[in-house]
Amino acid sequence: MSTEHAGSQPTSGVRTKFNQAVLGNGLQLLGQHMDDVESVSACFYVRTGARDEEPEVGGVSHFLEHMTFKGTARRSYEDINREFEAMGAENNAGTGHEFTYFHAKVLRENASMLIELLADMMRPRLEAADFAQERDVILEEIARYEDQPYSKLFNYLMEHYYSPTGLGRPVLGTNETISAMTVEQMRAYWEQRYGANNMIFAIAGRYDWPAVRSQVETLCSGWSTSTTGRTPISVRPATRLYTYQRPDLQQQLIDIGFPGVSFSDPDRYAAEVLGTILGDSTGSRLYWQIQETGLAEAVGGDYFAMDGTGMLVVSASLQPGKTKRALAAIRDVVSGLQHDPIGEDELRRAKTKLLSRLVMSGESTNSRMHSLCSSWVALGRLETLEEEAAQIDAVSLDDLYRLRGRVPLDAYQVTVALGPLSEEDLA
Amino acid sequence: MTGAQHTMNPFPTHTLDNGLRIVAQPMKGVESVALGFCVATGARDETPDDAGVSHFIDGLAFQGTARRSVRALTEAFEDLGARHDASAGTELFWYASHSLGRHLDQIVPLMAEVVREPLFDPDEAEKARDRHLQELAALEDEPMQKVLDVLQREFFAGHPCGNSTLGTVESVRSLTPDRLRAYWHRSHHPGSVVVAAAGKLDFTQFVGMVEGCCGDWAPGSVQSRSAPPVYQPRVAVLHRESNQEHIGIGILGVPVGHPDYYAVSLLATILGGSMNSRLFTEVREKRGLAYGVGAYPVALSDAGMIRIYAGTVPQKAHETVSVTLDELRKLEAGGVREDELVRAKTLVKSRLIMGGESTRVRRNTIGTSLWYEGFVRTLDELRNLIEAVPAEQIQAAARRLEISSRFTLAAIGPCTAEELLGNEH
Repeated sequence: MSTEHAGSQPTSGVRTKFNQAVLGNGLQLLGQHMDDVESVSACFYVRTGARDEEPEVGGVSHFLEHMTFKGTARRSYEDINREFEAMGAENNAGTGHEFTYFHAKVLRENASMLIELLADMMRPRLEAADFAQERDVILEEIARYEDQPYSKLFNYLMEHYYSPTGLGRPVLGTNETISAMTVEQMRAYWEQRYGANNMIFAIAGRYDWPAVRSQVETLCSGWSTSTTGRTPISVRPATRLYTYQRPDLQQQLIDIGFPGVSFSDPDRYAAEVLGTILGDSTGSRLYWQIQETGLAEAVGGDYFAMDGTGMLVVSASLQPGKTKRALAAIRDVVSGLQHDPIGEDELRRAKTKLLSRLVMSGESTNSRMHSLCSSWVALGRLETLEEEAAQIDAVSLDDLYRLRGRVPLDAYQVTVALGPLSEEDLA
Repeated sequence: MTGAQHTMNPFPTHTLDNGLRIVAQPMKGVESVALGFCVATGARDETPDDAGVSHFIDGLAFQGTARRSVRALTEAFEDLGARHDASAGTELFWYASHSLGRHLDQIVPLMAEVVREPLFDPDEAEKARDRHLQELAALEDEPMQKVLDVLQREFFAGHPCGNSTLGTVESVRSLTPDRLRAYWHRSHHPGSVVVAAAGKLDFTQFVGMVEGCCGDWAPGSVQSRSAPPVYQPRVAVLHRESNQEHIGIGILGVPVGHPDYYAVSLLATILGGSMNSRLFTEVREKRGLAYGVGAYPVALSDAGMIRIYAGTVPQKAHETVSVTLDELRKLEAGGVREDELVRAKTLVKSRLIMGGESTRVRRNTIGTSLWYEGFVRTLDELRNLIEAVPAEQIQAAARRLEISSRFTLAAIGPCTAEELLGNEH
């Protein structure tokens, strides 16, 4: 039983053709048809991630993402991989703090094979032997992170900004939680979070909607439901510096977290514009004042918007000898953005960049599919590119001033440092 | 403008009187256009004293022109909402932009100004040098990347094809604006340039735009390139205290345009190009030895390599190497199965077709093809070429390239060469 919301939702632009439906068990179906492509991208998006885990099973969402590739009631691990390859799929999966997704892009003639495979994978067999073997792969992945300073640093930022909430725990889990986890715990987590009503099926590209809808309905309408939603998070971290000294590293890496807004915030477009003015990879204030002056090898800043919370993150890669100076200069730039007037030309350029990127990035089936999920999760509805563009275009200086009045950037800042410098060097 | 041949051709081309070549792919259903100036120069054209000069210049490329300060230039791109980028490779240097198609008439002259009239401002050069040195330092912190650089250097030992685009700390410290200018003059001539665009465009108008800003560019003598490298297997193990061993293994591949080019692509795909590949299955899935493992073909104009990477914990490093070498032996001795060949062909074909929906991928493909082969193949032609490769050709190539006995090994981590290889070498 499915409820059709709007077969082809009327939109401002002629090119946007959305489809949406919801099954009786709550599975949400989203689609965007694109006429001039040969491919289709499809995914299952599960509204669960590291922040929804109990601390003792930290990393279970990501571990479970791996396990969905290990076999189902009807398919072995080899079958799954062979089938992806046989249809020439570009497939991937990802786990974050707030989502787990499984997606693939195929030529349109293989769409129904892909949908059948992805749907089956959402019901993994979760066998003990597979679980024990995959545990080693996860532990390897955790070890590998030790050699990736940027990811390591961002984990530290999340930890100090968001502990003790779920957002403060690493997506991969830790050696301890992964080593201690049992397959029963994973099965229980799957029961709790992988219900149809906590999932979205999204498709973008060239497809036949009635066929897709009826196939998904046949495959998924028997799925059970589970809990949805999550514990709201509200933090106010202390302004502090956390130093991780690594004498073996050459570069000093710094991440700073400032207050931000959530992805459903009415000021989210103002935040995007303000983030662009502050920290875009070219032409931003940080670019001109920090990178172009040679204080940093690389520096950038952007709003990191999540479910009910968010932060503004500035990241920099610095020479140890210039770090203190750069850090002071970065704080000045952020303080200037909070207190000084913002130029009309800055506003105009930031909007022009965001608008053209919106169009340019919307040309792939993958990015459209991801937009369908993120706009549904943030707003509970789909937004056309034209609607998004109109909202970016409407952002005024007053909006930026209101935003920084509501969410002052200098209320607190969490700084994490990874590199050769010690706490004394940085103080 | 002399008769552009563009009727019905999916990849119309045109050559200006000064030798500059133009190629395009007009695409339906997109609003953007990806534009690039592809110059035939790169790390392999550098002398040891100049090592890193191409990358130095890519870091300076958008930092001002003879007519515009760095700020004015950046703002000119921003006012059009255009993204830009310059990147130096082993043998090609790309100046690239991505913008809305309706701004192409303004982007073309702006990009031509960047390519033809670099400023090489001494202050900006110092900043670029600083960033470049920091990048060299950062590479030391990223062993996963570093091991690929080491592998390339060792694989082509002594030949400029092994040059890292980053150069060395010594060479980057010593480069002066005069030397940058000298290298630029040596490498940038209309005869070494292909201008490529893919996306929303009209070819005749596009040719007019390029001619308008490059037609007066005086031809020069195109630099000659080093002789092809001769391969000799080597082992290079860099000791580093760490809880990871990063392993790179290089085996012979083939150059672009070689009759075995697609056979080698398929070989690399079967070996380590997907989650169903032999290495992924044997190293990661069956034995849990390494999280990341894969094989990737690298093709230059006159040489090729298949690059294998694996990252593992030191205790499992030896087994990872020996399982990998076993797979090379099996492939050389036993060839490939029909079912895995069919899957690899589907994968290679669908990557081509699906990549064909991105304006940036198409720009890179048509520019690179024109430069390497002098023409661009349609997706149908590529499909047929891939389809036609028989299993025997893959095994014959594996044997001819002696993939199991003539490998180069590079590694970074706590293990010694003996610990990694045992009695394998």
